Amino acid sequence: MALWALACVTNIVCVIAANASEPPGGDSHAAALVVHFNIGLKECAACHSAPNPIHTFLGVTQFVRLVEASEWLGRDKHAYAFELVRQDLTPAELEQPGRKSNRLSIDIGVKLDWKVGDGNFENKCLTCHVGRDAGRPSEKMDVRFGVQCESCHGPGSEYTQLEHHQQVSWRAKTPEEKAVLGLRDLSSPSSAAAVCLSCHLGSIHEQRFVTHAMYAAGHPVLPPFDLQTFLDAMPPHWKTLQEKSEPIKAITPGGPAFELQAEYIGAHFDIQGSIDEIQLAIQGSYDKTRRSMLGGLAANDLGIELIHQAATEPAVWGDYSIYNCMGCHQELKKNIRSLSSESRIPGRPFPADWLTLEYPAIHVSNRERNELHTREFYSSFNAIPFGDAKRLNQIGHNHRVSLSERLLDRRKMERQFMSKEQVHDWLQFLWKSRRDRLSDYWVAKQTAWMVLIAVDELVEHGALQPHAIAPLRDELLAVLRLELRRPQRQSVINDQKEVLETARSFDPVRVAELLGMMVAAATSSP
Amino acid sequence: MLSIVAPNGFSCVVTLTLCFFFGVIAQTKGQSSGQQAHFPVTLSAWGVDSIHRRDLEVRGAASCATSSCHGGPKAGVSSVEAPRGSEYPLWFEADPHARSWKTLSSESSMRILTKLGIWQDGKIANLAGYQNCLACHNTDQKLGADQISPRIAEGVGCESCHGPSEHWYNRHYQGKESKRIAIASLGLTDSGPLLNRAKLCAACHVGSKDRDMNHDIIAAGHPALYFDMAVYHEAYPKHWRDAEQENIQFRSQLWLAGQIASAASELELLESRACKSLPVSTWPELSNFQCNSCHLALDGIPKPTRSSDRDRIRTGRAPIRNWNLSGLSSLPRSSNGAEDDIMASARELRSLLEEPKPDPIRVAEEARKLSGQLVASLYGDGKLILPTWSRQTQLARTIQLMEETQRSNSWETAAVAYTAAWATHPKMADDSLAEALRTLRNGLLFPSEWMVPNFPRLQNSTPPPNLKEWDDSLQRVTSVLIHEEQK
Repeated sequence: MALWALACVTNIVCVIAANASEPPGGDSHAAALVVHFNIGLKECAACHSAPNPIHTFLGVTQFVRLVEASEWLGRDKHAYAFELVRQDLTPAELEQPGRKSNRLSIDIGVKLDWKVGDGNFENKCLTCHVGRDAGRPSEKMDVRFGVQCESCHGPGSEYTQLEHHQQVSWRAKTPEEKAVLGLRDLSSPSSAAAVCLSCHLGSIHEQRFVTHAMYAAGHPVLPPFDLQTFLDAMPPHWKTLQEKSEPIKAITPGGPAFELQAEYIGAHFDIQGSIDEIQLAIQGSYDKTRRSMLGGLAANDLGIELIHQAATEPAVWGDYSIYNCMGCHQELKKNIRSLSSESRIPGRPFPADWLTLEYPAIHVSNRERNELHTREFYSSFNAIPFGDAKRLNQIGHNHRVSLSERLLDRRKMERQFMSKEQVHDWLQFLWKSRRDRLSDYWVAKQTAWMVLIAVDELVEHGALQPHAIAPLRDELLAVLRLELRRPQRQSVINDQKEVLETARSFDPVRVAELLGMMVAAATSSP
Repeated sequence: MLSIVAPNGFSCVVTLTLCFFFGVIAQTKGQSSGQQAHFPVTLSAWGVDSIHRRDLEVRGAASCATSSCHGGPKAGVSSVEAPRGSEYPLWFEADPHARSWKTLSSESSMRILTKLGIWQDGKIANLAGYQNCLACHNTDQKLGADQISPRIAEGVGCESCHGPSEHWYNRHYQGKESKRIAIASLGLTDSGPLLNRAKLCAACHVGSKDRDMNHDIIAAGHPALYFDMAVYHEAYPKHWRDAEQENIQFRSQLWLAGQIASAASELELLESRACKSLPVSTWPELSNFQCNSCHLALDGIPKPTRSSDRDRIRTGRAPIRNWNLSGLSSLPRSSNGAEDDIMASARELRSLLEEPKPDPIRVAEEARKLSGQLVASLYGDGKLILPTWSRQTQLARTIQLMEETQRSNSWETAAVAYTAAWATHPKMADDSLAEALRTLRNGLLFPSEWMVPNFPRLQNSTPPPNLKEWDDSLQRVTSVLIHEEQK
């Protein structure tokens, strides 16, 4: 029950929105409890590998690219998530140069005293490295494909039935209707972020949790999270909002192409008007910044949720991995980074700072109470070293209640386009709330990612001169080592050393100067 | 002369209590209960109870300082060789303890107090927290919310170690027996026996049931405590003379007394922390761990080349601090196997503490049990007796520590082994041994960019030895010791 109750914000967003008029609780769980089955990547790939002439003739490719599976398997790093950690290789294969990560994977198992067939590898590694849902029948998911379609989009037993997603009418269905059939709404930044974060942050209920022992045995450190930066680093197998709003030529000659387009947008946004007006609104909106912002806010909620889960699980509570790495892992040198703040007792472990992101512009209902819950939650780490699990449990419960309200606020925000003024406000909020905490590399990195997304989008829209920020941008990329390499060139293990060296040695004062100048330039231009 | 504390290093260690005197006989409350196994008496058996007596009045160092008593020859001529009677000026002029109030009211200490919330808006906001500071930094530990003691600025004065003088200040010099009586019943501390003396020092330099210098305070800026009796005693400007100090065994007896007293104080503190008997105490307490269990850079995690800590490091468990408990394995072998029980309890305690969520109740029980076992193993003739080591025993123990160092990767083990070797060889006859010890010492020093204020630093002119040079020195010292043992 707990597994499904609130573990996955994806479901909540949809279900709560569906029951928007009712208080969240009872009924919503029943809908989420319908269990769908995985059907496996091969089923999806039958259509989603390459468009055939009939698809093109019918204009289907205007909705959907139909190259998703081949893009994914050929170019996306997620598809190699299993291959990189598989342990069933011969000694000769392991010696090959590209097998460093497999050697590490085996080494981690040895250090943690895991044995072949004892279920540890399957239940503690593959939940993320294949993206299996704990407790969901998933025999059809071939582990060799790594993280695959249904890992993110949801189990396909229902929505892939002939009467559903292959129909033209599917286009106009609301995300809530699709969710009932098992398809997650990845066009919603909150839901998409929740899917990413279930691995990229972790979820104890979903058995996706890198313990401190796993880190100590060699698992690379997880970076902070910015939804749009991560999406930009992936080879896109989706269409952007802009592309989705482009007019569809014809499904059937003289058919309802424009209406379909408007219906699709209408199912996702609160907007009315002709397709031309809608298109104009989309062209003027800041979709990337919107994703970045909503993804960051989702991370804030899920960070609290993760700690709450840990506090309620006696077997997990006390695991160091829920705390800020840099709270302890600093050598006692003179250049030690002080991560202290006024509300924090020195010398006590505290959660990761990059997760804290309270953007008041979004949270309108019961804002004061919600903020109080968040404040209480974090201050309970002052009570005793490592935090007081009992108190956290109670506070976390209150926070869950307010979370459902926050999600409703979030949902309203999600259905709006973001304007230039809102981008300015967001940038100023980021700068104000983060400028004193930039000595934490994770905070600095996430903040810089978010600022760059917004600034770059302002440039794209012609609202900012590129030369005004270009040198700042380049320096920031270098100082914080911000760039995510394209998947083919990325090596988590090789990057690790550089990242950690940067975390230790970067100059937060310079980063603050750069971000300050960048935000000032971006928000002052007419 | 080799010393782990550099010539000016001691001034950094100004913080805490030390102040000794000759005493006569230990008084114990536990004389009647002589059973061995779970010895009920822990603290009072040490004969230093008076330093915990906050009910008695402190009269202040000035009352000891009249010229006919302890305020003898002028400060300018006072020295270790000066005749008795100069204790006060010597303390006042040369003893860092006399400056500990100044330390506590310095700018950097005020920053610490502010960070801890003890000092807010120009006044003391947390009295219990402040009294915990005073317990070590000042003779008079009583501070009412609305009163400032006239002796507040004394620092660590006579009565910090010798006991509050309310009942004995005007009686301890009246006749031959008066001092014995003062010790037996009036609250004067007997600082003569090395075990008592070490316990007095350890009460602050390690901690005790009413003195908890914990990780909160360290994180706010206070130096971590690494006490070694032999090293501190050597550097201390003594206002007394020890009859045995020329004895070749004296330094290693001091070392042993320090090891035992540190273990006893650590156990007392541990029990107090686990029971949370002081408002400042917390549980779990992070200073029970070695600093570098956690404070290692994420990319600087050492690749253990030696085996003993590897299991813990690789699974992300934090090894506990062993600095004060390593003395338990220095206890002499006896026929009844008591020290095997002690080692078994020590292992149990260690594994309890290294659990991710150490259970305070079980830790307190185990610490209490171990204290009892420790006292019982030292108890005889109505008091605690410091085992007298033969040269042979002392060499064997030092060799054992050297061998442990070869197997482990731990700075703590290596530093304890070094102090043992240093205490074993007060006269460096063999030049190559002196050289090897110096290399060992240099390898243990911290580079100047480290924030370890009470440790001597590596001078820029001396490059640190590489691991091979260091290992060679370790081998060399060990083999010289083995050679001497076999002679």
